[in-house]
Amino acid sequence: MLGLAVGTSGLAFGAAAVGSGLTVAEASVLSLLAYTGASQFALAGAVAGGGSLAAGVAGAILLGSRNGLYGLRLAGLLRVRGLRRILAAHGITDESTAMALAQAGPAAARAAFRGTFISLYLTWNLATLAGALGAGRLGSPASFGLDVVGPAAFLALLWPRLREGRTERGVALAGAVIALGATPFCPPGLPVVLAASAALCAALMPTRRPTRRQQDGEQPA
Amino acid sequence: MTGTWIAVLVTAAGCYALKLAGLTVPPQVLASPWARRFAELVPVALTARAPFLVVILAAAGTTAGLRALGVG
Repeated sequence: MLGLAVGTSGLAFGAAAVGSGLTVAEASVLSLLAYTGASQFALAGAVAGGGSLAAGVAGAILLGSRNGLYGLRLAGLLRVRGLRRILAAHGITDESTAMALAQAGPAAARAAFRGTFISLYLTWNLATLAGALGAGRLGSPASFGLDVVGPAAFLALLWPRLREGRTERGVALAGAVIALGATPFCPPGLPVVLAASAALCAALMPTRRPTRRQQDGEQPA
Repeated sequence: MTGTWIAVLVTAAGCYALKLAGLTVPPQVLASPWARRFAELVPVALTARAPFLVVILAAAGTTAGLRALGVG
């Protein structure tokens, strides 16, 4: 399901990037080296808008800051060092994080992260190239209704976390509401960062009862 | 080198640096319980935004469609 979502999203990115005025090579290098969809769309949008490129780059990097927060969460789970860490860092995306965290133990999480990284990296880059080459000849993914596949996949991955406790549900709702509410008023990139404040508030609140995970130590649920 | 190429490369470098920085954070930073709790809850807060936005957009779209048909 995520593969289909990433494939259509990559096609859409390639087509949008070339439509925005990026060359096929620029679109492909962005997918190969930045490898984080939301930031790439933000930069393409800035190029298309004709505004300041520096502001576009800043917005795109701001959007990428969530990957740093994901890295924070994944560090203890993946436990990678040296060259493997340099490689694994490149694979951190919404998708690989969600897949890794949906697993029952560290070994399964590492396998899921690796598998998601490899398959989606190939899919994303091939789809970007295809979309960039075929720009203009493709319809919008929205017209096929495929644009809802990605969020639906996230919901499936998020569901077990929401059943863990009231705090998780509160944080998910607050994060979504903050991102939605801030979107009309903030430059691109900022709403997603603001959504992380929901997690910050919940983490700072005193816990009334320890969660099962804290009692068990580092065992993921 | 054109301005767009520079923008592409700076964006790529910045996005990668953020990923690596997160993964490289020293373990003692996450030793405090609230920092660990924060790291655990961030993916919940951020991945929740995607489905939620779609539900809202789908609701708005359905309403607009029904109104166009003269139902609502």
